[in-house]
Amino acid sequence: MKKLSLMLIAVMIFALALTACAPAAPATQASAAVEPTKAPAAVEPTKAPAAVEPTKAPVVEAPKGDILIGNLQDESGGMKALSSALTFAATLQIEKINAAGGINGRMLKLITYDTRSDVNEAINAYTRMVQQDKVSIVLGPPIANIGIAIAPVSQELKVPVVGLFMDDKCTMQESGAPWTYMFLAQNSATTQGTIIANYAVKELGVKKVAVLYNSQNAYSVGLANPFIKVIEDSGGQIVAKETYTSTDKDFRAQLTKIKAAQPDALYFPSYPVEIPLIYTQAFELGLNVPMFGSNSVPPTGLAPSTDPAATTNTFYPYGINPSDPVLVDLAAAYKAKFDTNAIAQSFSGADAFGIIVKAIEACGNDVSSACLTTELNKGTEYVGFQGTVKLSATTHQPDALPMAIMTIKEGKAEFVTWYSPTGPAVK
Amino acid sequence: MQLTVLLQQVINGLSLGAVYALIAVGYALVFNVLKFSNFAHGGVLGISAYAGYIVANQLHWPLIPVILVGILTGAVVAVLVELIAFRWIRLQKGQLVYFFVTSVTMLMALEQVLIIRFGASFESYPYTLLKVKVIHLGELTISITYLLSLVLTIIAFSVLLYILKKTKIGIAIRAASNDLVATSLMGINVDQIIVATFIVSGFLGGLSGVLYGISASLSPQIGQIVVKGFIASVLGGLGSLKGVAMAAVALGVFEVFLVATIGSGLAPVVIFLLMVTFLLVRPQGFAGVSFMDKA
Amino acid sequence: MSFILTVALSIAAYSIAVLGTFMLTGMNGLFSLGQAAFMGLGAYVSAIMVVNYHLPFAVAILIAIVVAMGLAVLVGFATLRIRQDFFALATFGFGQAVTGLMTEMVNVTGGAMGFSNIPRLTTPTIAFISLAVAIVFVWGFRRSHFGKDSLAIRSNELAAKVEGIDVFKHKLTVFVLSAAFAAYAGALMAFHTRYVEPAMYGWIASVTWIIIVFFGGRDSLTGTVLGSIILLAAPEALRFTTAWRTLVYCVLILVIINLRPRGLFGTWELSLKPVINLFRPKKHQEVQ
Repeated sequence: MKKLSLMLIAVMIFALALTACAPAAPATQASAAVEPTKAPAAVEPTKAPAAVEPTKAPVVEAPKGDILIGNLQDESGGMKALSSALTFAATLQIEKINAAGGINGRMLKLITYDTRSDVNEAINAYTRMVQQDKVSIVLGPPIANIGIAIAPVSQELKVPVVGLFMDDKCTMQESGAPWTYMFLAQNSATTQGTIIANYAVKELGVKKVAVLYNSQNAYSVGLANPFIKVIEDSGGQIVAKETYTSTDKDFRAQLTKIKAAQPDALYFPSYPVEIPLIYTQAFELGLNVPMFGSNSVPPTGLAPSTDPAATTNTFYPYGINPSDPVLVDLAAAYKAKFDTNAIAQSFSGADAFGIIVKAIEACGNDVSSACLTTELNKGTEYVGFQGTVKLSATTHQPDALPMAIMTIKEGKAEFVTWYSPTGPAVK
Repeated sequence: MQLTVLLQQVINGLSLGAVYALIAVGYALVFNVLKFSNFAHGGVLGISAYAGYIVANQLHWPLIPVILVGILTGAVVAVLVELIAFRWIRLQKGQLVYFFVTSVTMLMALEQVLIIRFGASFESYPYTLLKVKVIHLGELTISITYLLSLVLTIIAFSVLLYILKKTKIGIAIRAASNDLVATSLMGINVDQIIVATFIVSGFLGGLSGVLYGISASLSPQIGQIVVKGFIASVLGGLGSLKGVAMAAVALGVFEVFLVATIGSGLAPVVIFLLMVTFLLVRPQGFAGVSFMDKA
Repeated sequence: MSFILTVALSIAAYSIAVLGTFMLTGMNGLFSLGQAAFMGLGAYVSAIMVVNYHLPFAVAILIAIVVAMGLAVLVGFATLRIRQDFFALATFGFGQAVTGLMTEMVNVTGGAMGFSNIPRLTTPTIAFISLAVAIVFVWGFRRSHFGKDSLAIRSNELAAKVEGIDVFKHKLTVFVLSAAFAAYAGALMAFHTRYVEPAMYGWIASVTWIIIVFFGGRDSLTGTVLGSIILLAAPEALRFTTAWRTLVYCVLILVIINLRPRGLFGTWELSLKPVINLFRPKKHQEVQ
C-alpha cells in the first residue's frame, strides 16, 4: 500500500515535471484536456534580428540564421485533403529557393503544426509558433472556422497570416475594417459563390434552384448566401433551401424535399466528407439535375470510390485550369514527390506562399513581422498560378480573379471556360 | 406533403431505422445480459467497418466476403473487449458503474486506434461493391444499400431469435439475462455464456459496421453512432430485443420527419424532449418489463 | 503569461468542473452525460454578456451561473426521478439538445463557427483562488449532512428513503450545485482561451470528467483533485506521443480500473491532523 502511494506520487511529480520541461504541444482533441498557451497579456512584437524598432535605422549586422515561416495546416484531420496541399506547395518552393541559396543568404525553414481541423488546437499552435518558435509570418489553412478564430488572436500576437480561409469574417472585422494581420490569397467565398451563380444563370439559364448547405459551417454558409443573392437578383427563384449539420451522413430527407420542389439545379457548397454522400444519395433518389458545387469537390468527388454515374453533370468553380500544360507538368512532379494528386489548393497555396516569399524578399535585412505586415498591406501585385493576385488594402482579399468552371464527365474533371463575377473572362 | 413525397420519406426513415435496429440489437444483447451500457460496441462497429474497407478497397473483394470479414472482425474485437475491459471487473464483483467507465474508455481507445492507423480524416467504400444502386417503385426509390440493411437485419434477427429460443447456448444466454447468479448456480459456465453473448453481439456489430460504413463514409468517429442504439434500447425497453428493434426503426422514421420539418439542427432538441417524456411516462419502454431497483 | 502558468490555469478551471462531477457522480452515483453542456452554457452566457452587452466580468459570470442553475432545476425535475441508466441517457439527450441549440442560434452564439474575440479577463489568481474555494466548499459539503446523505443514497436509495431522507430534493440540490460548478469553470475558460465553440462541450467531455473522478478515487476528494491535475497535465506531458497520447490515456484508465478500482487514492485523504497534532499541547493528547 505504501509503496503504491509512493509510486503514484512519483508518477504525479514526474507528470508535472515533464509538463514543465517539455516544449509546448497541441492539446488532445478527444478529451476535455488542457488548452494551453494563450498569448500573454502584454505582447511584445516579434523583433527583427538586428533592428530595435522598424523606424530606427537598423544596426548593420549580417542577418543570422534561417528565416522561420509558420505553417498552420490540417495534416491528419477531416480537412487534410485540402489543407496539406499548402504544406506540399510550400515545401516545393522552399526546396527550390534554398537550393538557389535562400533569400539574402538565409535559408527558409517551415515550421508546421498540425491543427487536425480543431480550432482550439489551431489557436494554441499559432500562439506557440509565434512565442516559442518565433516565426515572423504564417501560412494559414483553407479552413474558414480556423481563420475566424485566429483573427482576433493575430491582433494580439501581431504576426501576419496569409491563408486560403475564404470567409469574409476571416479578413474583415465587424466594423468593416480589415484585420491587420490576416490576408486571403484566393477569391473570397462571396466572389466564388457569385461566379458560379452567374455561370448557372447566364450560361445555363437556370431559374429555379435548390440549395443544400451546412448551416453550421462558415465555408458552406459563406458560399450559399452570395449564390442565393445572385439567383434572386437575376429574377430566379430559390425553390428549396435545405440545411444539414456537420455530423449528418444522411441527406435523404432533405434531398427528397428538394426533389419534390422540382428545381432546375442543385447548389451544394460542402466539405469533402459530405460530397460523395450527397452525390450518391441524390443520384439514388433520382434527382437528375445539374449540380453546382464549390472548389472542394475534387478530392472526394473525383475519388475512385465515388460513382461516376452520380457525379456527372456537375459544375464547380476552380482556382486553376488543371489541363493547362504548364500545370500538368507541375502536377506530375507534385504527384511523384508527394504521392497525391495536385488540386487547386496546391496552386493557390503556392500563390499564398509566393506572396509570403515576395514580402520577405522586399523586407531585405529586416524580416520582422512588422515589416512583413507593412509589405503585405501595400498590396503589390503578385503573378501566380491563379492570375495576378492583388490584395486589397480594405478587405485583405484579392481583387476578383477569374476562375475556371469545371465539369465532371465520367469521373474526370473537364475545363469548360473562364468566368468572372460579372461574366465570361479571358485569361 | 404529397403522397409520394410522404411515402418516400417513410422509406427513407425505415432505411435509416433498419441500420439503427441492427446496431441497437447488438448493443442491447449485452445490455440485457450484463445490465450495463456497452459503449464499446461502437468501437466494435468502427473496427469492423474499417476491416471491411481494407479488404474491399485494397484486395477488391466483392460484397459478401467483405460482409463476412466484417462479421468475423466484430466477433473477435467484441471478445477482446470483454477480456480487456469487463472480465476482471466481473470476476472481482465490481459495481456496475465500473463497466460503464471501462466501456466508454474502450470506445475512445478503439477510436484512437483507428485514428492512429488511418488518420482522422475519412474514407469511402468503393462504389463498385454494389452493382445495382436503387430499385424504383413508380415514383419511389429505394436504395439498395438500405434494402440490404433491412434484409440482413431481418435475417440476422431471425437467426438470433432462433439461437436464443432453440439452441442450448441461446437458452443459457436468456437465462443469464434473467438472472446471472441463478444461472451459474445451475451449473452453467457463466464465462462461456458471456463470451458467447459477446460473440453474437460482435457478429451484429460487425455486420452493422460494414453496412453503415457502406452507406455513410468511414471516419474514426463512426462508432459514435452507437448512441442511437443506446436510445433505442431504452425506448424499446429492457428485456425485449423485439422492442428495441422496433424502437430503433421508429427512431429512424422519426428522425427523418424531424429533419424534413424543423431541420437537422433542432432535431436533437425535440428528441431530447421526447426521450424525457417517454422516460417519465413509460420508463419500461415500449415492450420492456417494468421493475424497480431491488431493495 | 508563461507556458506553465497558462497550463496551470486551464487545469485549475477544469478541475472546478471535475469537482462538480465529483459531487454528482462520485458522491451520489448520478451519471450525468450533460455536465459539459452546463460548462458550455456558462461559457457562452458570460461571453455574450461581456462582449455584446458590455457587462462587468463578475456580473456576467453571476448571470451565467444563475442561468445554468435555473436550467439545472428544470432538467433535474424532469430527469432525476428516472432510473440510473436512464438518467444517463436523459442527460446525454440534454447535452445534445443544448449543443444543438448553441450551434443553431448562429446569430447569438456564432454557431459552429464559434464565439471569438472574447477579452482575456481570467487571471491565474482568479483561477487558483476559485479552485481553492471550490475545494473548501466540496470538503465542507462532504462533512455536512449532505455528505452522509450522499453516501446513503449512493449505497442504497430505497433504504435512504426509508430513513427519511428526501432523496429527490437532495439529488436536485447536488445536480444544481454541480451545474453551477461546471458553468463557473466554463466562464473562466472562455475568458482564458478567448474562443468557444459548441463542439467543445459534447458528451465525451462529460465522460472524461467522470473518468477522472474514478481514476483518482470517487471516495477521495484529494484523489479527485490530484487525479484531475495528473490527467489534465498528462496530455502536455505525454505530448511527444501525439496521436498515441489519447490511447495511452485510455490504457492508463483501464489499468487503474482493473487493478485498483477504488481509484488511485482509494479513500485516502490529505489530512491535516498530523500537522495539527504537532502543535497541540502534549497534555491533550495524553487525555485521549
